Amino acid sequence: MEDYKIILFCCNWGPHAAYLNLQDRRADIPNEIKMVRIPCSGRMSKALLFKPFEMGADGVILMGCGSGTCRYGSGTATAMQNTTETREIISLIGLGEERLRLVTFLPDQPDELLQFLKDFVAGIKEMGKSPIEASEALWEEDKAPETPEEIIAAHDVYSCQDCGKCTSACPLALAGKPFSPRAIAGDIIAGRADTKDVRDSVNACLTCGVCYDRCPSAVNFPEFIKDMRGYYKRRNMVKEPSHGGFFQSMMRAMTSEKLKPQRWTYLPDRIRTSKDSKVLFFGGCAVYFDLFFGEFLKTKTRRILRDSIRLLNFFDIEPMVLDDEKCCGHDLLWSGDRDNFIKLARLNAKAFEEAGVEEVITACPECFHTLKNEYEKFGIKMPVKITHIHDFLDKEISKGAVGFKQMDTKVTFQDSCRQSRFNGNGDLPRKLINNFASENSGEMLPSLSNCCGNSAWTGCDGFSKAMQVQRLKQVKETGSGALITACPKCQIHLRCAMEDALRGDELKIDMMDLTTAIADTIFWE
Amino acid sequence: MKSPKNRLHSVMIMGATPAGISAANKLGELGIPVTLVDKDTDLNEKLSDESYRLESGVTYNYANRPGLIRILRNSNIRCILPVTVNKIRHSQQGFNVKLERPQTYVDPERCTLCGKCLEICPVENNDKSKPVHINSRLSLPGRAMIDKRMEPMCQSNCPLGVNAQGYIALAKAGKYKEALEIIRNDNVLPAICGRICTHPCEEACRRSEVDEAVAIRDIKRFVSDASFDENEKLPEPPEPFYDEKIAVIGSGPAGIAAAADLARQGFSVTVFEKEKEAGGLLRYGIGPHRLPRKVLDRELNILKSEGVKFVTGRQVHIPRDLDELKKKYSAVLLATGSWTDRRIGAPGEELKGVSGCISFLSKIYRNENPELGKRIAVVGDGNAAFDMARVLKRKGADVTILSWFKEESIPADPHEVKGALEEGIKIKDECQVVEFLGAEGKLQGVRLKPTQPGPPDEKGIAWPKLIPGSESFEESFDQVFVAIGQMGAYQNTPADTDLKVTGYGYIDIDADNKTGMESVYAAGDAVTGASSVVRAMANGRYAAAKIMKNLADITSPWKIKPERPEDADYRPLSDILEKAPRQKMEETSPAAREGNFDEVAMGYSEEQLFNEAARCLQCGHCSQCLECITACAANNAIVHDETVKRLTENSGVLIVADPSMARDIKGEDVIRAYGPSSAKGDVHAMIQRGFAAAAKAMMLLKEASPSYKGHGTSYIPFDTGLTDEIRVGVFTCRCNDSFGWADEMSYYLDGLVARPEIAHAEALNSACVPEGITRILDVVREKALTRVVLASCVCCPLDYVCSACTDQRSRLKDGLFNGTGISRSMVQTCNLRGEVLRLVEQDKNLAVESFKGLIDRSIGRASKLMPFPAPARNFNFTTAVIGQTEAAVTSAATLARLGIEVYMFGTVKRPLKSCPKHPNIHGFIDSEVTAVSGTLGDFSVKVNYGGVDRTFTVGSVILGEKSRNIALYHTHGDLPAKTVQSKMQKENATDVPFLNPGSTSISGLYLADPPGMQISKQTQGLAAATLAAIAIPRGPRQYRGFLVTINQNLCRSCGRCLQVCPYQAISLTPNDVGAYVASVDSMLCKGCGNCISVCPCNAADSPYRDQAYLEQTLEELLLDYRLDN
Repeated sequence: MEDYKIILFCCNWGPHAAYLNLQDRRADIPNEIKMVRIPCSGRMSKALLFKPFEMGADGVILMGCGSGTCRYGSGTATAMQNTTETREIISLIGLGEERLRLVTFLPDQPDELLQFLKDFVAGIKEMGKSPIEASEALWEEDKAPETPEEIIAAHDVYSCQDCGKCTSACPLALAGKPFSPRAIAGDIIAGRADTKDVRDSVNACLTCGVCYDRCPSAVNFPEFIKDMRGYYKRRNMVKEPSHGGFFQSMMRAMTSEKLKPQRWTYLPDRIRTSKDSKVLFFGGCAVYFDLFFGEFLKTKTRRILRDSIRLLNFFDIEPMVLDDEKCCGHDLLWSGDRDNFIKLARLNAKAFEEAGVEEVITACPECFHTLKNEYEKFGIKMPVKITHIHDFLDKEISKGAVGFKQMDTKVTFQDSCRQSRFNGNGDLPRKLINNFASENSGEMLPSLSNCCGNSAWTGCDGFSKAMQVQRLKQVKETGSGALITACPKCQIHLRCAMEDALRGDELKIDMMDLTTAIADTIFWE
Repeated sequence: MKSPKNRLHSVMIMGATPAGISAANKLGELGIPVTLVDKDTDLNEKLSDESYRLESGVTYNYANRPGLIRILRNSNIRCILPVTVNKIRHSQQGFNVKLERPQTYVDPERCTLCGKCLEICPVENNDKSKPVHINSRLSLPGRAMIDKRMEPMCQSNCPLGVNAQGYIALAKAGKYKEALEIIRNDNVLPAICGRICTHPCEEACRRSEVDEAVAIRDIKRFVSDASFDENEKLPEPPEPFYDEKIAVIGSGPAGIAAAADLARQGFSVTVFEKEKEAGGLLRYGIGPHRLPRKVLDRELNILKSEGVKFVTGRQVHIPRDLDELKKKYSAVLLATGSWTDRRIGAPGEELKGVSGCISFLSKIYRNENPELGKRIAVVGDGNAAFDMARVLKRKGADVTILSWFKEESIPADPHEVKGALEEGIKIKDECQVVEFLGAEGKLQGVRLKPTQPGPPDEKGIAWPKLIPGSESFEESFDQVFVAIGQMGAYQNTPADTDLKVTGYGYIDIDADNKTGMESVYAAGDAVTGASSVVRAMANGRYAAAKIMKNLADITSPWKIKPERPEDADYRPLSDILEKAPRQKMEETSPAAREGNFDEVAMGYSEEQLFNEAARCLQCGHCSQCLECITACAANNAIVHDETVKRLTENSGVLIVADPSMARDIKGEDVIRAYGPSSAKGDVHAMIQRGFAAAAKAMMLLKEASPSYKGHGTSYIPFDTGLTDEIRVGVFTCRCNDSFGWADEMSYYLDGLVARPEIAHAEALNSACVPEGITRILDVVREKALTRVVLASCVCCPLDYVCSACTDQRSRLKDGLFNGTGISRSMVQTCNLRGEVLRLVEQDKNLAVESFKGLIDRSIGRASKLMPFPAPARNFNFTTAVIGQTEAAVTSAATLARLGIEVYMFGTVKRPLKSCPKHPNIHGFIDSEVTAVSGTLGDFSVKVNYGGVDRTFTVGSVILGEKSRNIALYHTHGDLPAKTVQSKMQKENATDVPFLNPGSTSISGLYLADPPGMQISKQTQGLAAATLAAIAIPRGPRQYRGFLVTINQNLCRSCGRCLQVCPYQAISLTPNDVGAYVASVDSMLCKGCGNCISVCPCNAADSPYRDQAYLEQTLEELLLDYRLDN
């Protein structure tokens, strides 16, 4: 018999009273129901609503009080918002939104509650088991260095000369955070890896790579941090990343082979894709961000994907898209979860191979970096060529015959760490921007811009906020009317910094991805 | 004018209406002793009434469940339920109230609502109702109740007082052994009486008003026979407890009953019997066809095993041998019966062939085989005559009964008459023997005269009389037996002995059944003359009671019965649905009875038994079978001997919240917390009236109450129990096994102690009774536990009440944490009853697995418990009253009279014009308040006064005028103003938190004129004064738990939390890096956690059940089975 599991988050007030009535009279509450008591339905974040699915739950019920009876007034509305967004996401991820329900009951409605539970269980059984299977550890297959000593040796951290150039350039340190790459290296060499302070610092690192650029001994600090996070993760010493760990949770869910995400359902009809193409467009997780952040940040990261394919179509390429495309795993890898990263990477590599394509184009610098560089490190051979859309566009545009509408405002570019620093491609986006904003470019810093403030959803705090505010102020000072980004996450994090209870509109500025800017301005001559 | 009252510092509140509850809560919080009385038994049930449904759609019992639970737990509030108010008088100290509390027969402090009493109770009425009643697990107080009525008439009419309803109820439930036990408590000869008792119980049976009396005797017979097990080995007789030895002369019913009582109480008892075998009349007066000898032997054997010694074949000559006996025995009971036949006194009675009844029968039963004639007459028409006739018939004689009465009116049992006729016995009715005829000293016949009914006597019996002038006639018989009764055997007792006898030859006794001879008692037929087995037994027991009283000063347990109300009438007969005929017992056919003494009546089948028992009306409702006492043995909550309590209460102040409870009391100082009858149904108005009543009460008591001025500190005591060392104690509650328990669970607990971190593991029968609580406290202290896993029905250890809390849960928490030094933060609770025990009967394996999982999870979490914050805060005791409406002025004046300092201000465009004159009121004339900010205990009021902007610090604020004044309140000057919520919840109205009328979403900020209240301004002002007066904590507080804390390093000051918090508990303050960070005001935060769910950077969390806890819970619930594999 298949073992169904359904999590019931039950608010202390109305529904809990009704539920206890059922327990007390030994009503036939379905055994599939696992009740978790919560103070208010509005308490459950999207991450906690999703978490059970990652762990293999077949359904989740959030049970609260109807409007007008919520003890705290706002709970029902908050719960509604969180549930609606999570439902949209699980629908997109391929779970089916019906697996998550928000319902309300009065304390004196135990019978109605029981009926609902029975109906819900029956409905879930009709849908069948969740395609997500809780993931199992892969320890033995992972060949990365394990102990702090091995990690130090692997990255030659001993060669640190204690010069402090890294710290003096580190954006976090510059934002005022008591943070020093040099000190972290020193602490770990000194055997203090397991102290809370060191652990917190390792998790706070933005892995932007400025330090690596500056290091006279060429210590690859981001790689060192990445492995240290893996070390902590295995020892279960890592707290959930920001947003309650929602995105990592989602990515872990995607390691289940049976799960078939449906990311492309939103594509407009005029966008052309082909099942026979030798070129595959890999979208990445930008598609989820508008759902997750939409309420507060009004992000439009889906447009990046739409506009990228629009541009491919523009250059007469009808790419294939994977019906059940999954994430690349970048955020799992960089938050220490190598096991699940490897699982995802294998699934992706297999999918590319089965698709029979020769080239994978992506618009996301993280996807590009991960598919191109990281998979190999874990022994996963990529059977295809990985191309960043900027490279593709540069090549096509340089063939001539296209023109650009000029933008009527100054723009500033926000570098992506994975593109500009890790892959040394900072000049490429600038070159592309010059096509439509050559006269107006407001880029203040000639080389590389400051970090967006977060990476892999880790290390978000008041200091990263301060850094982002600093960056937005710089942009404002250039007199730019728009900020061009190359990574959906830069957009999210800088938008988040604009959301400020006290600053109001002071930091607001238009933001768009480079692909959107090009798609909106390009034309055939 | 009478002198003013010198009031006691206490308040009596009549009526647990929302007004009464509100007043009680507020006064109790202030530490004023409150007595809350109501005529209902259950606050939850009472307040779940539809008329108390709030506009939000929630009934008051749920909406204010925290308040109701706190009433039970607040040591200042005494809650007496149910009561009737008999009288209220004014007294010099306030009021004198006479109350009567009817019995519920259950101790609310000990009842766990486990429901086992309900389950075991065998009584069930046609409408399925049972005398044990549980409203619900939410009952407040949480106890069962037992409905008892007057004593059933069957029991009252039984000379032995046997609880017939009790054993019939048990018999119906198939509990024959238990039923037999009830009978044997009062009747040690159940199988015998089940056959030959004259069953006065049935004569009184109320069922005969519907159809026929219940066949109680036949049920008794079934129960006795069904419980008999031939192979059962009887226990050895117990050693006597007392030194005194008692001799009983005669082993008939009276002697046996007396001996049994004495033996059971621990005396050494010897019964002397002159015949070869014990039993007296039962053996030598009643035939085996009615009372088989093996039944008699069986019951005698049981008595032997209970300590009664029989010495048979030993004649005791009375009074000659008594002096000798008294040397060895401390008391002697004469129970020798009445064995002398009465004579007619007609000529010829001495002829050979005329004999008495009993003397002849005893010869037969001694197997002496006396010679019998062919044609035999039996003179008499009682049961004895018919018995005689039927015995003679069995011996082969041709028998005629010569009856005085007409056949239809024969006083013998109709069943006897019918049986006799069936067996071929002839009846010659309406005749009287006037002469025995014979020749040569030998009987040949009788001369008879006809009779007719005489005038009825006072009992309605028309005793026959000879028909005057009628002709006599003759009948010829070989033998005649005179069966017209017996007479005393002691007519020839010498006059020089102390043993006195009556004129009829019976032993003369006093009220204690003592004869004239020292230490010699007498009982039974030897005293009363021939009666019945059951009466003789009762008389024997009476004498036994006197003997034990006189010898050892102990009271016989006989007639010590559980209490029943004297005036509670039986349920009406109209409740009985339909007639049901009495079950007829099978008998052997008349032909089969010929020539033998086999038992005639064959007993009931089990089906008949059930049908007959089902006919019982269960008049007393509770049958007092006392099975519930067994079910509740461990908790001992059932008190069957509870009496009606008559209480006289004195209180300084009287608040009447339910006018029907205090109709007659008049007087200006009676506080009335109810509106006109037209205002019914407005629960919010009721609550406000309650608050206002509390203000009035406080004013009446003000001389006695301490006043608060200036400011004070309130703190939460620091956790001491939670040290780094991990010593876990696991306590599981079996809930009195009401949902069942599996041995595997006990084994699992036993195995836990092998784990290094577990110092103790134990399953308690019930954790929420005093023994359970004490046990936990003792172990925690003795074993120095630093973590406790409490697996009961308690869901959280916090001082926090949600709408699902129960009396039992809060009682256990209160017992564990209140003044014991055990901290809440060291206890990990889980709802074992709801999560696991409820599954035991349904699926034991699943339950055991769930049990292991739940206990393991709880142990895991227990080691990760964190101390709760222990903040201290300053509180200002001054109240600011802003505005000058009638309600605001009333509030100010009220607070001033209560000894609280009041600042009065005006508002912009309405500067303060005047204020009441009182030393405690500081009126700032012409002042205008421009803004209010802050929190309970620490509000800042910005005022323009005399052209200068000034800021005043106060502890609470009352806003007068219109509610638009709310706009004055700003938590954070730089943020856009957020509306303070002050509306009452309404169905489908979003964003309004649950509030009491007059309160706002800001703790400490109250409205004197809340919108939409249909009550007087005066009442509103008083209510606001109460809220403000009580808001400031007076002593250490308990950490409520669930409150949100913000990690200031992580906070990005995005402000999402501000948007969702309905209580404006979050404010932003500058940090070191030039940004702002959020912080939560623990006075304003209610712990809903909405801010946590919208925080993007995990900065907001709750220290109790935080994100990590919830994740771990999910992991355990969802992944556990994987770990097992």
